[in-house]
Amino acid sequence: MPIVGDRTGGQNRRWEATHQRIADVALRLFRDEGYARVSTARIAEAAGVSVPTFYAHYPSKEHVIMPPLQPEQVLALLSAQPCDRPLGTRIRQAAVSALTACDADQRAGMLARWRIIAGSPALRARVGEFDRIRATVVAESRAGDGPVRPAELVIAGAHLSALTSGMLGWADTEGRRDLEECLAEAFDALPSGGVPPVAAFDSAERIRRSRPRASESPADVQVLRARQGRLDP
Amino acid sequence: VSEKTEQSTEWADTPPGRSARWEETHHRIAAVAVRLFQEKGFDAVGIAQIAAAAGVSAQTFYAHYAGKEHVVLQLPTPEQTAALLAAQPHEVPLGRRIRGMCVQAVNAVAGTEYEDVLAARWQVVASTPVLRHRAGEFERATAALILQKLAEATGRPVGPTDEVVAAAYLSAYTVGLLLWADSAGQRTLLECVEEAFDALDAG
Repeated sequence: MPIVGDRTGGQNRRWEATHQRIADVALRLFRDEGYARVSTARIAEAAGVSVPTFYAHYPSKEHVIMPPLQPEQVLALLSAQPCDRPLGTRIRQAAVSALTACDADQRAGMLARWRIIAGSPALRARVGEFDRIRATVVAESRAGDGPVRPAELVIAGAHLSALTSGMLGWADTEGRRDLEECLAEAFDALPSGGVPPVAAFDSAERIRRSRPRASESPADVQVLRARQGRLDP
Repeated sequence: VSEKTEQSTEWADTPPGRSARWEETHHRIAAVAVRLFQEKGFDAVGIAQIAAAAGVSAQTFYAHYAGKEHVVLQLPTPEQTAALLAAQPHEVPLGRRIRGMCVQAVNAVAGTEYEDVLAARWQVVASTPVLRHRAGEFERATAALILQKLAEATGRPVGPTDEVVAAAYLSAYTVGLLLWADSAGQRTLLECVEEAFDALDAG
């Protein structure tokens, strides 16, 4: 279950059981007592392990709640998508298909985890670090032995951060909104390309139109068009 | 513009209303720290070493910076964020406004002494893998600050799509800053930042 991000690999069963138990205990404590109030010592004690054992499993408290998607998981997800699609589209489709494949229990687990992240301003910012690690992995894998293309880093970063924003948006509604709908809304908010300046402008304008606001009028749109040259010389 | 040389960091450096002495100490700690990071590598330099080299106590260091990474990855102040946001045309989509804010901030430092300070800091970030990733956290915090100022200015709550747009443009901005640092003075900051934004806009 890659999006949940739980560690996979060759560790033995006992190691895996401890790893999972620490995460389960930590999530329960975060939910019941508040993320900021729970220390690593408290988690270790409740999970029946020593503090050094905790750190052998997780580099920090943040890593329990946001285990980085392992590089091989990212690459496996992406490689399942058709190669002829643009990178952003492939990331979007890979994420949506992985999440759609989750059963009800997995969704409940994801919601619990993302509600904790969404409820902590520090964690909402910290997710950016985890997104960047994944974006770098994606861009590096596509570069092979050559240099990473900055445009791919930008696109991967934007789409992975949109995925995170979609998950946060879902968590903000406490799961009342449909997850797929939250993700679609997030990905649709990204510039959708074409001829760069105009297409990006139109895409953003479309988003504004889909969320009507009091100040918006046809005159505003004309001003927008008039100013476009000035904004993007 | 007379404010040019005062425009510091990505956007900002010190909160307003601090004494000249506070400012001097603040900048001295950063200058000493960045020099040590460049000489020995970010990971090899401790707070105690920075404090000693800057002639302050570790406690004073922490009064100025929450940690080592906060010396090189700084957040804009709320005041400067609000001013940059207010300087953008209000009618354009959020992504355009954030791009405009970043470009304005870049233009404000281009050709000033501060550009060299910024270059040194971002070269430390670019050459330290953990900081390249950690920059993601600071750009999210900056995005949240922009959205907060936007909500205050418009009186409207921000929506989930605003968060997506702010995070995407700020993360492109970071890629631009890293590109600039990686080019080691061969390219201009504006050129690198525009390249990153163009890639985002092209989808």
